[in-house]
Amino acid sequence: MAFLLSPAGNPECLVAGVQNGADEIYLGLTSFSARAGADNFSLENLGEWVSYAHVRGVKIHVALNTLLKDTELASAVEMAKEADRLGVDAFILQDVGLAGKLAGVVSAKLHASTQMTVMNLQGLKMAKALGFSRAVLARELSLPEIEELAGAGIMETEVFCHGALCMSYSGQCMLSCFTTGRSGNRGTCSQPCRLKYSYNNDKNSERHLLSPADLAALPYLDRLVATGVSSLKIEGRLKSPEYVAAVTRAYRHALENPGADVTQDMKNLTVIFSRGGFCSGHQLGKLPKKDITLYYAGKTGLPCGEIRGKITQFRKNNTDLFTANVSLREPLAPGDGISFAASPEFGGTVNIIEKKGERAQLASPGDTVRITVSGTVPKQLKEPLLICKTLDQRYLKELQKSFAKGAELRRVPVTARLSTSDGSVILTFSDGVRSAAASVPFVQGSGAPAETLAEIISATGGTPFDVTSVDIDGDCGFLTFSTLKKLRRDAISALTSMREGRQSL
Amino acid sequence: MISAFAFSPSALADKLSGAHSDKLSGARSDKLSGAPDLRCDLVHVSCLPYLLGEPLPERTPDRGGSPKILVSFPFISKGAAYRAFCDRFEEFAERFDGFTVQNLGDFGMLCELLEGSRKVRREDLIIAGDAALNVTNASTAAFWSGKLDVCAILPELGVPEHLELIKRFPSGLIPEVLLDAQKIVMRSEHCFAARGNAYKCGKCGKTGLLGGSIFDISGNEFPIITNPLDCNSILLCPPAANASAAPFFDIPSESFYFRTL
Repeated sequence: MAFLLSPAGNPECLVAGVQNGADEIYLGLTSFSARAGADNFSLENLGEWVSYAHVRGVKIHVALNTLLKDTELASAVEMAKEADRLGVDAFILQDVGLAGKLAGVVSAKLHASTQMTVMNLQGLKMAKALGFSRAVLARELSLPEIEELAGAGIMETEVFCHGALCMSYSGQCMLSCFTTGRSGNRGTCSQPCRLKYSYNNDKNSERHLLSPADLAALPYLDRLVATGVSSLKIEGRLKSPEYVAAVTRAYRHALENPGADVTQDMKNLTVIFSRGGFCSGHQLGKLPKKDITLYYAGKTGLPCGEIRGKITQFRKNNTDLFTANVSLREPLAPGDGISFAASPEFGGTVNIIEKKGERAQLASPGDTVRITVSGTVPKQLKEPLLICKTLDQRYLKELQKSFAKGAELRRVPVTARLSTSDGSVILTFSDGVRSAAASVPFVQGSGAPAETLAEIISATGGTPFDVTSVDIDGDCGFLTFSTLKKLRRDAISALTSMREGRQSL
Repeated sequence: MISAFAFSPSALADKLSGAHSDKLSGARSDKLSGAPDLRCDLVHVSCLPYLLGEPLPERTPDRGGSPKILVSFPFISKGAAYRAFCDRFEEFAERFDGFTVQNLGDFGMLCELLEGSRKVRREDLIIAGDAALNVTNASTAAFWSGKLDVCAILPELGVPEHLELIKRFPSGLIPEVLLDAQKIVMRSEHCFAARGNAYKCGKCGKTGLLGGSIFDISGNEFPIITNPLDCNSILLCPPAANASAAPFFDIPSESFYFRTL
């Protein structure tokens, strides 16, 4: 099965990715990251988060994927060496010069960024010669092209499965630099492809001509996995932790349940963030023309209902409000965000839902309700007045639980063994690769029944570990419950320490 | 030395004759090349017109060895144009002085084609690297040393950074400066020339390189060049020269190429 690689623009996103099923997390540091606009990570806190991920079986890839000037190379190398000492698993690089300086010097692997525009076998071979062990393939490859490269056995391959698409081949775009002075190659893309352009200066044709809809491979994920690609990458280091949680969760579920219905997941992802719905990019053939978001290049949301009749606008407490009757296609609750499908820049937050004259906390598909919204209405309204859900409060809260402080949804299975040896009682936890033990002196006497001991040893809630079996080996003598609990904590702590370092999972 | 990029055979003819209406002043050309005219020393030419049926130029002795004409690999390194280009490698090698590669894969492909050819020898060719190689520091330039003969500097660097990097280029690898050139700002699988609600790939009736441009809201023009073999396209930056060549006048002209419009 392919690895699932999630983005982390900050520690909260990292936790969201780990807890919702990522195998790998990629993040940037304070410099030399192609997403300079993200919060990013500092060398001061990186070690803590590398340990957090490793303990839970997740690898950390550091994106040092900008092009570098001569004056920057030395500090980029130093930064990489320090991150390497902290145990990161891979560096994602674009700059050939930096790759030359890190190959064979750092223990972490080198991954060729999609910014290196690897799109054929010869590109893979050249990347290998440079010391790379994985290439993030150009987003413009079709499934058969991905299959050819993944199947060549030259190196690991990684492809994007979800998120924003660029109009240009990555690493081959200078539009931002030449229009705003902000270089995409150096991490400060101003996203000029989301602006309006016209053909041949015909102002009537001014549209978002260069803005593709977002990619979502979820509906055909089994076909993408079948190409043999090593890792599936979720785009979005500038996105929220809720976004990382939702997307990671949906893809993890699909990977573990091939062929499962993804309709609800696609709806959830559409609400969390989608630009012009979703598309398959170039993976199923040329990007369809309908998937250029000609009329709006921002978040569009999930069509959730149709306004029936007149919209009444008013102001209260200096707030613009409107009410309308809506025939719903999707559930809607107070606190949810809506927009007008034809004019997504208009809309707002649903304050009140009334169903048959009564206030409702949740309305269902098929219901016709009256909604009061704090927000604005487009001046020109075109029938049918379709509205889209742009925020789902209940779903958001559910996602937030997954990365709340202390959340441990992602638990590593371990086995436990309680035994005696040389006058000691030893508790050993094993994750299948490593074993960590703690011991106390053996005390003669009759102890608690084995079932009780097993229950105490298995009580690892609040830790990243899930005890799947307990083996009580012979007479362990007299053990107080508090002694056994300390033994458990010490052994868990020892296993945690052992898992913090760089590992091959 | 002066270099140029020609997107079409007619543009190539202009560059060869020195008759192209370059926005560079004659004085600037004089300073940079030591010659009072706009004669190019090196011209990169797109392979696309030739893949679409244009006859290849003759490699005639009267060209006197200068300017050198290098044929550029397709702007995107996959698809029908790429396959056709590789299939005709020996023919191109015979008619041009060398090749311009756009990325790591192009160079790898070129090496494989050379290995597989009995006719073409590396030492008979000039191999150049396009700005798309993203060379921004001396270490990257050093990687290409021994592989390429000429290598463009990424024009996103400023003039002072160009001047520093030229000094640090490895010997044997000639830098090329694109600050004044009409640069490719986007390479896309998308066909920018496609209008309406659907593509008509292979059926649009457009069989050659297209004109046309898109304009941003400030009125800046981005000319489109399409590849009808694969229905992909590139965008060029607005055609005005955008940098001053004056700081480069102090560098020995034979030590670098200054690419003109």
